[in-house]
Amino acid sequence: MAARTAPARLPRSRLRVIPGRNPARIGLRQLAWLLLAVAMFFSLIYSRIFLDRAAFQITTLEGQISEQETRFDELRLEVAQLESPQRIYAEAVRMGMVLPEEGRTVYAPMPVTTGGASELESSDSTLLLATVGAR
Amino acid sequence: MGRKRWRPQHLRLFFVGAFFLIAWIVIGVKLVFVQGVQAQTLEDQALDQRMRTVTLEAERGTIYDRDGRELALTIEATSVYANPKEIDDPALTAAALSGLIGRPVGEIQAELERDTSFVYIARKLLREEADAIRAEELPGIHFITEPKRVYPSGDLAAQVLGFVGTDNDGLEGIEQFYEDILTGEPGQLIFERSGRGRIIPQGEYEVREAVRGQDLVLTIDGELQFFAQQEAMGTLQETGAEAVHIVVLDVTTFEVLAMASAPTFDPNHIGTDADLFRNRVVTDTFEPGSTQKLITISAAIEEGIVTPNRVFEVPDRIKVFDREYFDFTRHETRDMTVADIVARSSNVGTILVWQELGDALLHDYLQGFGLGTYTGIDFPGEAPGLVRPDEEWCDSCGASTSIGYRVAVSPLQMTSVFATVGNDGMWMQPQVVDSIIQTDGESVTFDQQSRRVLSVETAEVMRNMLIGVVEGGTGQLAQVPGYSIGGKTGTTEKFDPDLLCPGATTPGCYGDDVVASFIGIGPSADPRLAIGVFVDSPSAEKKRTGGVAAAPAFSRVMRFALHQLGVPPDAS
Repeated sequence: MAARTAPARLPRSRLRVIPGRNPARIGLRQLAWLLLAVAMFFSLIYSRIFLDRAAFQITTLEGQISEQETRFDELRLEVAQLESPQRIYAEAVRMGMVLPEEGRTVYAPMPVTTGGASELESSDSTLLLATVGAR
Repeated sequence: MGRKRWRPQHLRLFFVGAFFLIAWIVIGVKLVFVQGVQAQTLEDQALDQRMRTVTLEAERGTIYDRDGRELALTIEATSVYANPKEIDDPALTAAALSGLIGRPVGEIQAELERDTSFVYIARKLLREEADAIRAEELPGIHFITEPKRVYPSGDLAAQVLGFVGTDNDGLEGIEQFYEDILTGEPGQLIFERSGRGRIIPQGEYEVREAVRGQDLVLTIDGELQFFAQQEAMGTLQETGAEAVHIVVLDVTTFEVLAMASAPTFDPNHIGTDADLFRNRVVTDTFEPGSTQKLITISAAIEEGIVTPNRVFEVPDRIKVFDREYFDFTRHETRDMTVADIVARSSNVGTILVWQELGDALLHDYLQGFGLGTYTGIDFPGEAPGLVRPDEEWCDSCGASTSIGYRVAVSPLQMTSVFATVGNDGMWMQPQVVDSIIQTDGESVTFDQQSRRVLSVETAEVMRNMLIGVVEGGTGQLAQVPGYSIGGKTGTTEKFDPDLLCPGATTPGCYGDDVVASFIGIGPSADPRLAIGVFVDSPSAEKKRTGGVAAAPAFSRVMRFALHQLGVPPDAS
C-alpha cells in the first residue's frame, strides 16, 4: 500500500468572493436621491408657475379693487350730488312746493317734576315741539 | 558645464507664460477695480435699471358742512394721454377725440404732432367720459388714473371752499388756507421690474402707504348757505347791484353759518374771472356808514356820557370846522332822544353825541370792536380794514368817523360788531372751520379769542334801540313776523380813487355809487343770529338805501335761519 501523503495546505487566498452586484438594480438611497431631485425640479417649476399665477391673481384682484374703489367714489359723489340743496330745492319747486310766508310753532304741555323723583304733573308751561317753517 | 542655451521652444513658452501672466494681472486689476473701487457705483446703476419708484398720491381730505354734507371730496378720475410716436394719422385721431373731449381738432392735432412720447389729451375725466374714448380704440391713446377734486354741490359756498389746481394744490379759500391739513403725505411703491417693465414676483417690493389728508368740518350750514346765496343773487338782480354779500353769524359762538357773495362761480369749472373767486365778505373793505353809529352810540352809553332817553336838539345840518354834515332827509330842528337818533339814523344827532364822546374814546371802541385789525378768521387774504391812529385825526375826522366814514371795514368785521352786541358785549374771533378730523378719527377743535367790549347792560340797551330802528325807523322792511328783530341800516357813498372832485387837482372823490347795507340781530330778546346784507353799487331807482335794498333780503334770510335753527317766536 502506498502511503499517501497529506496534500500540502495551499496558502489561503486573500481574495474572497464578494457577491456580485446586480447592475440593473438601483439602491434605495440612490432612488431616494433621484426622486428628491426630480421632485425638487418639478417643485421649482411648479413654484414658478404658482408664483406667476399668484402674481396674475394679485394683479387681477388689484384691478377689481381699483374698479370697486372707483365705483365707490362714483356712488359717493352721486349721493353728495343728490343731497345737494340746489337739487332738493329744484325738485321741491318742480313739485310745486313753496316756502311758507309765516312759520307756525307747535307747543305742547311740559311735564314738570315736583318733589318725588318720578312724579309728573301737567303745568301751564309749554314745551316747544317744533317750529314748522321754511325748512 | 556650459551655459544653458535658450531653445526656440523655451522662448515660445516664455512668451506664452508672460502673456498669461500679464493677462491674469490685468484681469486681477480689473476685478479689484470692479469689485472694490467701482462696486457701489455699479451696484447702484444695476439697481436703478431694475428698480422703480412710484409716488402714491395721498387722498385729499374731505370738507364737510356742519351737518356732515360733503362739500368737497376727492374721487379717482381718468386722464387720457397720447404717445404721438404710435400714431400714424394725427389728423384722424384728433378728429375722433375732438367731439369726445370738447377741444378743437387743430389744438389736439398740434399736440399729437409733437416730437415726444407723452402728451396729455384730457385730464381727470369721469368714467363715462373716459369709457367713450376707450370705446374708440384709438391707437396711441392711453389712460391713467388720477385723483380729482370735485364739489358735488356746484357753486354752494364756492368762495368759502375755494378750489384746487391741476395738481390738487389748494389755490383759493379753505382749500388754500388748510392746504397742509388737507393734503396728507404721499406714499411710495418701490419694486423690481423685468426688462419688459413688469413687476418681478420674487423681487424687491416695498410699499409705504400714503397717509390720507385730514378732513375739515366747516361751521357753514349748507341749507342756510344755499338760501343766502339765492337771496344774494335775487337782490343782485332786483337792485341792479355790482355785488351782494350776506353773512350769517351765530352770536353765541361767532361761527359763520353762511357767507355768500353774488355773483359767484362753480369750482368744478372755475373759468377765468378771478374777481369771482374772492370771498369778498372777508377780503374786501368799504366805509360802513350809518351801521357804525352803533359803535359811537354804544361807546357813549358805556362811558356814561349819554343815556337812551337823553334829548338832543338836532338840526338837519351841522358844521364841524371846515366840513358840513347833513341828515339824509331835510327837517326842522327838533328834539330827539338818543334812541330816536339811532332809529332815524341821524348823522347830525350822532355827531352831537360824538362831540361829547371825543376822538380818543371813539378810537378805543373802534379798536375794541375789532375794526382796523384782523378778526383772525381762518381764511386766506383777510383784510384788516383801516382805522387811523387818533393822533393823526384831523379836526373834523372824528365827526366823519362817528357816522362811518374815514374807516374801512369788511362785511365780516361789521357783522361781528352787531354779533358782539347780541352776545351781551363779548367779542369773539369768528371761525369758519369747526373742527379737523384727524386720520385716527379724533376731532380737534380750535381755541377762540374773546374780549369784553361792552357791559351786559349796555349791550341790552343797544339791542332795544336797534329794535326801534326796525319797528319804527329806517329798517322797517327788515321785520320778521313773530320775532323781535333789531338792526341798523347803512348807506355809504363809495370813494372812487380815480374820480376827480370839482375843483380838485388830484384824483379821489366820492361818486354816485353807494354801498347799501343792513345788519341786524334776532331774536332781540335772546339773540341767536347776527346777519349782515351788503349791496354794492345798486343802480335800480329807489333801491339805493340800506333800508330798501338790503333790509328785505335780511328779513327773508333771518326768517329762514330762525326756522332752520328751530328758534321759537318771541313776539306777536
